[in-house]
Amino acid sequence: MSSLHDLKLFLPEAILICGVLLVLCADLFAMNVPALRRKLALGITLAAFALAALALWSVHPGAAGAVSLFSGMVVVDSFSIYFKWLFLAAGAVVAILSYSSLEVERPQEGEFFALLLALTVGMFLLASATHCLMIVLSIEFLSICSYVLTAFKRNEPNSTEAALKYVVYGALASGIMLFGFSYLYGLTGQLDIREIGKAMAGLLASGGPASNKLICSIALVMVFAGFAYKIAAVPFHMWCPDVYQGAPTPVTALLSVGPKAAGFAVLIRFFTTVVGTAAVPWPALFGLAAAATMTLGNLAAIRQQNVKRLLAYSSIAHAGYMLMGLSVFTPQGVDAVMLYLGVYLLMNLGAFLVVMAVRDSTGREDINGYRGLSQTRPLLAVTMAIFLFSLAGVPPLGGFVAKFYIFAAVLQKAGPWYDVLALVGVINAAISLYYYARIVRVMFLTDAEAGAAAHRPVALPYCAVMLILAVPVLILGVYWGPLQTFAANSALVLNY
Amino acid sequence: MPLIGAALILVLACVKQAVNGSKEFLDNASRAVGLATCAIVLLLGCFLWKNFDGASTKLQFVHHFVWMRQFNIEFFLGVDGISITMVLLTALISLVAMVASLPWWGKVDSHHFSQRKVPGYMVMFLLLETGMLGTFCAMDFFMFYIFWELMLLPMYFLIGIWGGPRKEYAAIKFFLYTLAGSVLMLLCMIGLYYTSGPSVLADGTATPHTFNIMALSSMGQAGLFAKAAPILGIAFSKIIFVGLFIGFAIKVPMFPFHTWLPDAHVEAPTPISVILAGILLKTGAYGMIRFNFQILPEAALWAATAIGAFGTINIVYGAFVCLAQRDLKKMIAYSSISHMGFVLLGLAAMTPQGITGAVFQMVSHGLISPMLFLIAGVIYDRAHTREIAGFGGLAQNMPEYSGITGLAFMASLGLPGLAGFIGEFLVFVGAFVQFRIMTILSATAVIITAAYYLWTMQRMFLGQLNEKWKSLLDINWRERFTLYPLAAMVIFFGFYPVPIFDLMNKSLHSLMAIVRVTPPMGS
Repeated sequence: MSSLHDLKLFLPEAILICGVLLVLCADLFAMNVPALRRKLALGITLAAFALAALALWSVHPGAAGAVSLFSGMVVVDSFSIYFKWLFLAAGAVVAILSYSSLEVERPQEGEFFALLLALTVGMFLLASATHCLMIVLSIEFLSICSYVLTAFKRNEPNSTEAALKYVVYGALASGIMLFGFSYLYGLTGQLDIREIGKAMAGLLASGGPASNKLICSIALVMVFAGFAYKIAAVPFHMWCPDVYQGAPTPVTALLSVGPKAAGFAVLIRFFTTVVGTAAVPWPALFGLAAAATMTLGNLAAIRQQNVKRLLAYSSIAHAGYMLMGLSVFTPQGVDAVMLYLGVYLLMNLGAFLVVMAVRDSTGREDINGYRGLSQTRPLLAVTMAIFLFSLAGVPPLGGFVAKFYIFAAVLQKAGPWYDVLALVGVINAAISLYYYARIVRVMFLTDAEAGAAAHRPVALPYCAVMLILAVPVLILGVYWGPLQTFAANSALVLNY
Repeated sequence: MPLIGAALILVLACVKQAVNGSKEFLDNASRAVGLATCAIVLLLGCFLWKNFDGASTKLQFVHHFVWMRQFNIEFFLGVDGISITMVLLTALISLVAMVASLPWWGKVDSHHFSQRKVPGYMVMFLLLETGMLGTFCAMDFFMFYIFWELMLLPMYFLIGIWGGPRKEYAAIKFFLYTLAGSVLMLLCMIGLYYTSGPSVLADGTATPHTFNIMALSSMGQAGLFAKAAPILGIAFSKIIFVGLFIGFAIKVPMFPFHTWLPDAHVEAPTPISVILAGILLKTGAYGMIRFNFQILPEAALWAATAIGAFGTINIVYGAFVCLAQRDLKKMIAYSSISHMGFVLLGLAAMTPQGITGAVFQMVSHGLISPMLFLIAGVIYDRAHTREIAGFGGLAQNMPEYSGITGLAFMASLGLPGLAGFIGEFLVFVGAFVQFRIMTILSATAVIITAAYYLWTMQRMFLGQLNEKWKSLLDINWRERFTLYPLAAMVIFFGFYPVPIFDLMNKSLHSLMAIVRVTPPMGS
């Protein structure tokens, strides 16, 4: 297959890369027209997203269901396409928000939007990577863009500190992951994950030395550590609260959904391809990680005073729910996680969007800044309540349906371990309601502080995007068929 | 049935649309819309009643089609004898509570809860009514769960925004308790789904599993769940039974899970207490009948004694706690706990009289406790305190109020000739053959009940009139509109309960046949 043909299927990524370059060049030329710079950067970014979406629409993996590109580096299949749609949606929403946000420093918008596009490219590559090298490269690419974006509020020490922590943890996690890959290479002599999977099956099945299994397990746990860092699962979650709090809020919103989804994409692909479930006790390991992640996330969130930090812990907890769905290693589990990611994208972006709007209008990020929001900004308060209750999984909102599928997948794989896990899950769901309701409480049940009415009005794009996100959350609560079918069909290409 | 729901939703949309109007006009418009909706719902309910065939055990007025094919979830509404009784009660009590939420036909203070954020209140109120009606009509477990949870959110806001001084605490406590119960229920629901056998959807598609309550019931009665693989070493049906039961018991509320109720009741505004006591508590008992008894009959037999014991604890404990209360509303709240104990006891007995008595008790308590809460609301609106001991001699300047309170108290303590008596009597008759000691204990608690009601009467209405309360006015027309119809019904059903029996007897007897025919577990 010629690489020219490969490029045709690589069109969405190519468009995004062109977008990066264009934004940078345009910014250079528009340097002297300050009024135009921001508009231009946003325009090119959105155009790139739109064209990429168009290209993505036209990409079909063909009859075989999956096409490998560039000698097995990346693959185009319906699984990666599902995730790419998520990334595009998140990227476009965040681009619009960043344009209005006061937290994105004025003279630097060119860089910001270029980095945003580059981050999206990184996520695209990660979702379709099938080669260890490609995985490492795209994770690093993604991470570096994230570091810079996190540090984008250069005048605030919080932001810089967060970025530094992010770098240190990130470097450690990638190091461990690379080490794991090196073991895998040593064991199998392969870097393509499909080949590694075949070789591993041979290694473990042929009655070779018992140490094989041990080494395989160690290598895979190391790789898992790298991915767990991306999805912020315990015990690799430490960076998450600081980074989410310190980063500019639009960036936080993107980090909490985009790279997390990308992390799950590569996690699902890697472990379903490489590991036969019988060889290593994955369900137990994933289940333990899941239980620890959601419990820690939820318990830590209870005491938080800063809403961004609270949502950071909540996003850790959500990674736990999704890991729980993954731990069953059944098609139902993977479907459930993919559906969850779709719904989670909407509601979490929405919640951060309200945080952003409140911050821009009052300059507050702490919970008390939300006092009486239902009186001063009814729209913000109502949509925030929808997003938060959806995150808590209260029917009839989208978040409930997503949780329902996760629990259904876990219980379907009957067994004592799964029953206990599901029980831990629902207890966590009840705990999470408490801290989400804390925010709702200050918004609805307390009176506004004096002088609250004098704050800046909420920017129009915020309101528009807020509604665009809230309506699907409501609709998905009663009619989720299409999204679920899409997710399930996309996961069909994974064979395990 | 969905007509009602659809009408409600439409009206909700209208109310939201109207948000642009001026404050005064908007408030009155949304009040009118709310009132009209409740009245229409009641009318539709009566229409259903008229066309309901009491001689049939089948579901009636069924609306049944496939909702979510991916998970074999159906849109399945219908009523049988038990649910139509509850639907009628819901429609009636909602209307009463709606009237009680209106500031018309009687003077209220400017900071009365009915003057604050009226459109929001009405939207939440109607959502709540949708949830309650849906819960009683849903015949698909998934739908039931959605409606069940749909009751939570509006209730949280109704207590939290329009409630009393400790409203925030009460609202979150109510929310957390019930949510904890319902997530357990969610697990059990999924467990049941995956254990259920093949079924057929409304459009004839065959499916491996089902959420259809009717299909689940017939599977359960055929012993499918009794034979299912155990979970963590305990029999499947027992675990599911306990999980579901706790979920419902929190709502009833049963003894160890009851602590949310006094807080929620006391802090909620009067109409919301009325709905809480009148209907919400009944959803728990209804759930037990519909799920625990119909789907898992053999586990129900296994648990009967325990349920009876908890029922007895509820009755006795609730009565004693009432004696110690100084706040009128709190006393009424605890008396609700006591009276719901009769429902549990009657259900546990599983004799014809017991179950009929339990459901009748649900109805009569659904009529009497709203009266009691309205009464507490009347005095609180005027005196801004509910301290029982602080009153005295009120009969002198509020004779009408004293009379109606006397009637409600008598009905609640089970005076023959009033509705409360029939339910309690039937429960005792039914339970006596099964649990002698518990029944005797419960019967003695009735004396305590009489004691606290009479003592309250005496402290509030008799004796020297407290100078402070000399200017209190007797009840106004709004309160008459709410109290007299309920009082009339309490008296009517006290003498002539046959209409209600006619409605529900067939369904109850078929339920009983199910439970009794099933062999006990392990034998």
